[in-house]
Amino acid sequence: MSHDKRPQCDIGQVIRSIVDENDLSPEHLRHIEECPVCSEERRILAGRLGLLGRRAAEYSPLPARRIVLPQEDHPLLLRPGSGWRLAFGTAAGFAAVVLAAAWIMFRAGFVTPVSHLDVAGEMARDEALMAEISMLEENPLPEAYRDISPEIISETDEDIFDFIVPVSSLDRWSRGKEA
Amino acid sequence: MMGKKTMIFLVCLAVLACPAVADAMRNSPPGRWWHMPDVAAALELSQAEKEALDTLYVQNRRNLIDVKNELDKERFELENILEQQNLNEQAAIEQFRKIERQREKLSMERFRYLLEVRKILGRERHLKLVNMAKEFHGKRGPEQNDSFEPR
Repeated sequence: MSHDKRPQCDIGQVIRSIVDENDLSPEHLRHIEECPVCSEERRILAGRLGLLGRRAAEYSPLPARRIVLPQEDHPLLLRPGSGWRLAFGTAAGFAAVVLAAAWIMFRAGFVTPVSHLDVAGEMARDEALMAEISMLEENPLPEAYRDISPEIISETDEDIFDFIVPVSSLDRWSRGKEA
Repeated sequence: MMGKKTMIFLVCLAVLACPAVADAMRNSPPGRWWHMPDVAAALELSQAEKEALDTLYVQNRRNLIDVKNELDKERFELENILEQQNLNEQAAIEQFRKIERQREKLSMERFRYLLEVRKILGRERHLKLVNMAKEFHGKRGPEQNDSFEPR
């Protein structure tokens, strides 16, 4: 406060009026506006602050990237419906990353698709299936007719011969021949 | 003049009747033998070859099961015809022909599998596999019924 200072004059009130006018009561605001000393102090202070701001701007280096703040008229960054697209894109991207990782791990042999027990079990089952198929290939007749089909009889089966010509009959036949 | 189909059939029959082919079909190891580490290492199987064998195996067994089911059905039909009070001889013969066709399909499917395995492995490795299987069957003996188990 330079000159003609009145009892109501207070430099703190003047500074507060510059920072935020709403911070002062209407009486104090009115005094600052009407009082020539306070209004002059306010003008000088505001001028110095403005000069400081300009100097700071002059000496500060320019940012590498220009920052543009959104205007208040267009507060939404996302257009309607773009939220779904963003969520879907994120989910799809995440799923692709998981699938790629699983594929890489599988290719690298981190994941064993079949265990030795599985292989052995499958081999046993497959051997049974192939045995059944071989049997069908050799003789496809129904079960009941398989035993009496010529293909089986053509193989030397001692039991069948014993059944047709019992050993006792053969003995009798040979004895009769000798006599 | 012999038809093209008849020719192909006769050639296939001759191939299947060949003792070496029959021997190879009998001696080929069951299941997915390429997943056995020792066999895969001995034959130097690549990942791509294993995958090709996997695909082939699934396709072949699927087809074999299909044909076998068809054959079972035809066998049942024949049994049914033979059990009738009044035997229809012509129907029985016709049904037997159907069974024979299915049997031929079964043999052909097995042979195709053998052929594809041979193509994937190449001559040397296929011979090696057949010898390994023979050796295994020899060690196991004809009366033992264990499967071709991995260690």
